[in-house]
Amino acid sequence: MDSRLITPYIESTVQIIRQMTGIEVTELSDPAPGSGELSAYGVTSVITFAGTIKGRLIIDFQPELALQIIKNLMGEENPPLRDRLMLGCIAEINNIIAGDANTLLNNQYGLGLRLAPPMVVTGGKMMLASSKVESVTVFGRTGYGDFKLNIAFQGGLAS
Amino acid sequence: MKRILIVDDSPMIHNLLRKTLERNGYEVCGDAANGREGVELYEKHRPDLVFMDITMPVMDGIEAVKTIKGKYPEAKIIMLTAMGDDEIMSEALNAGVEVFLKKPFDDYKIISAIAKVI
Amino acid sequence: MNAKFINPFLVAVDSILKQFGVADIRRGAVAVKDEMVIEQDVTTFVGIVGDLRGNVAYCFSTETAKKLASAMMMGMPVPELDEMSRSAIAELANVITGHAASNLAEEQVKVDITPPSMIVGEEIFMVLSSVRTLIVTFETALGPVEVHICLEV
Repeated sequence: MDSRLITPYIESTVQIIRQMTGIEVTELSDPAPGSGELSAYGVTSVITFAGTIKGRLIIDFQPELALQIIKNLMGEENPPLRDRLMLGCIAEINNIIAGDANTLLNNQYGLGLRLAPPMVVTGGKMMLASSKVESVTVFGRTGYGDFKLNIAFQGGLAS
Repeated sequence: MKRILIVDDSPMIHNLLRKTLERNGYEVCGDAANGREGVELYEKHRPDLVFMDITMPVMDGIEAVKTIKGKYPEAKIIMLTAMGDDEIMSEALNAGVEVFLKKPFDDYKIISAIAKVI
Repeated sequence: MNAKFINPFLVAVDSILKQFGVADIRRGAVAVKDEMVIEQDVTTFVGIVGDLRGNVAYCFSTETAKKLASAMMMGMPVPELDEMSRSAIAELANVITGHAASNLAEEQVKVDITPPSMIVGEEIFMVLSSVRTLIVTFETALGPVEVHICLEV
């Protein structure tokens, strides 16, 4: 997949997690082509967007990392996970990351991408599937747990 | 103490922005979850400054800015939003906002923007 | 929520399910919820941008999902919800919501739809939007299909 479309999401994720929560990403894999399916760690946010091309960003956290992020953002000692307000933080982080990367792509390539509202889900043995998209997955690690990014597009940039 | 109204559909942003403002000596006089509530709370509190998101349910931030500025041209509004491409930014500036900021934010970004406006 | 924005989605569900040969479609219960706690096994959803902004989700049991996937793949047997049938279910959301977008265009409401996603899992707790969700259940010969509509209007 076109690295021009992928890199902004990876860079925004690392910067925004650091800036908003103080949590450093200590390891990051190279983007690996996805099979179209993602087996989730447990706290997963999906945001989709459309313009001259269409796409989707999934950020999937191990529950202990998601809880640390929520704790740092909301200042709650033991935040409940299955809670609209607390889980909503994870959706909002995804919204800010996708907003940041899409701003850059729109300004650079005139894609006119607009975000649909982010959703967030928690549960056991979750699997996310899609159709008609090409995707890559990046694995990340922090001192509080691991996460995955899955970046998918329908269509691409002119070369 | 300067009084500030926050208009955003994310409770997390209200929480973070309130903390940032309060530790820098500002008072948050109202929390609105969408543009329409923002207009209502502006009329009720007549704050010194408004932080306004763009994409929100019921009424978006651009509409809310136009409504507030139409009635109160002296209103001071800082747009604070996740998406900030050239098109969105010029739409916001045309609607009359004083400053356009993109999320995320830290104390420096917020306080230096406020200093430009009030 | 305005019926002008809701009906195009409901009409699209009915007409696309019929096109795939699903029989006995009846529009059933309507509910409004603050959050989406999915009691069904399979959820597939599509985002909406443009004059309207939101998400629409379609939820069903694994059994119903298998039957729907089979109907979409020209009656091919679907004993397990495997990768191909999961993708077919994601595509169903794409086709229904795309049809709804065309219906909306006839009302001069211009929207675009985003790529579909499908989620399966255990004890799912999902927050789909910051706004209230309208849930309409369609009873069909293949089992109930729940349609969750969250529009920021």
